[in-house]
Amino acid sequence: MPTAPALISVEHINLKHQNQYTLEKVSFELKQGDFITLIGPNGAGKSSLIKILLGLIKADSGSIWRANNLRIGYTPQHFSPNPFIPISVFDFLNLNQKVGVHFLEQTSALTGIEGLLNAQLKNLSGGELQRVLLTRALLHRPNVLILDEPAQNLDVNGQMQLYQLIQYIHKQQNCAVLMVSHDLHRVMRESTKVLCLYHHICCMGKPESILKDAQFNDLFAAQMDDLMATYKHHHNHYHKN
Amino acid sequence: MEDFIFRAVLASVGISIIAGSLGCFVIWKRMSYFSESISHSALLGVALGIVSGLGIHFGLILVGVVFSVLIVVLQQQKFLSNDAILGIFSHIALSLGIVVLAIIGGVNRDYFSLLFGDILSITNYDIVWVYSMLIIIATLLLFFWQRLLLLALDEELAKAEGLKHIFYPLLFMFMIAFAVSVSVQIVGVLLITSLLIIPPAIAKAFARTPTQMVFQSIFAALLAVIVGLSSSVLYDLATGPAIVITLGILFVFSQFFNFNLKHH
Repeated sequence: MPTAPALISVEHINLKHQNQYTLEKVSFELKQGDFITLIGPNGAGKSSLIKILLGLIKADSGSIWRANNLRIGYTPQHFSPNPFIPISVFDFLNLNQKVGVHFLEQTSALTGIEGLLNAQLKNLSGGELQRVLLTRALLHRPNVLILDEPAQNLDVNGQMQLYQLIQYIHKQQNCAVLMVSHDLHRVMRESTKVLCLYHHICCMGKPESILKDAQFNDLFAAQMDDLMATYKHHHNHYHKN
Repeated sequence: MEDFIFRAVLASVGISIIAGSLGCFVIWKRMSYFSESISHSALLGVALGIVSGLGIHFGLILVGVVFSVLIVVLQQQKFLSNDAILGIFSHIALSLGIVVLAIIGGVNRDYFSLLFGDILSITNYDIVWVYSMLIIIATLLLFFWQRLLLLALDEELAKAEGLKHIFYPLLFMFMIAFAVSVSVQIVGVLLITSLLIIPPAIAKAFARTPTQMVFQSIFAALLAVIVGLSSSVLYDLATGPAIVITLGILFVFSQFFNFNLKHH
């Protein structure tokens, strides 16, 4: 079986902050068709790694290679649009990029925000905002989607719907995905590969093999108990109790 | 119409358009304290302009630009919070300006008109300056509108989409320095910031799009400046305060409208 072409590959990335390694010897490859979930405790260097991939900060050493045809769609971890600017969702999606109206409508229908186009950006809920951001990312016609904790601040139902949407886009648009997530439950089900980061890469592999990894279990001991408890009878709707 | 009033009106119209449009960004980017610092440095600009013989406009722009660069560079270092840096600059600039003005024999120098504006002082040369700055600022705003708006909306997203260059914060601060340099004579050092922030604050009650907000803000600035100027001439009031009080009244009314809009 021929291997899929790589889109981004990083090798031996080091990043130091005040004499401590934020990232140490990080190497991995994102290939076409991949759905990589990046997990790790807070402060593990996940966002720094993403910023390096995006070219927002430079690594102290190591190399990064990007495919010539690479088009990244990115949604940042924190997006709180300036509440003092009166701007509609439609205008925001068109801001600083040339988008055909037809393509914009098509993409909005895909992400389910076609009813929000005339709403003011500042009035949206967290879940709506994530969909709008995702739409903006998709308008770049990306072949890689980099999503930094897209489901934070959403309730369980909202998370479920957003993950399903991302999964759908991944398959339908043949778009590689690199997603930062804390949600182990979801990670185990959807990813083709899990990358567990704690300054260095603790382990990397298919979800099933990660579960058996000793380092992974050390890092996520508490959450794993929780995961195991819910894993056998997961819900697709939210119970108050 | 008296010549000096005609010149004052002409200058005011130009300044209203500058302040009304640029002011929206000052509000959006929460930079009223920055414009305050730059306007406080204006006194030093006037002093240096007189000392060097280059004239106050060159002095104002030079000092404004130097201060902008220093502030941006210091903010990048992150060794002090932004508001502390601005506070330090603001008051050092004001004090330096007063001291230098005193040293160069400002005995006959009228501080009051520098601090609060004086329409009698507007010359034809000043009007050329106002409209040159208007053309420069309007061109820059039109050309960079989309990028500046995205940066104001969410800096992190804008940077991730490629707008990470230090050019953009500098551009914005230079424009404020330009605006300040031509507004000093009409509204005075102490009140320039209000001409920048009150008109967009009024417009925000009505606007549904960023472009609407800019035009409504320009309209509010024009209205206040014309009313303020007239009452300044009629009742012999200082121009700056007359304009700012008019803006204040408009602001209070706009908030009633805002309140109505939200509760019906």
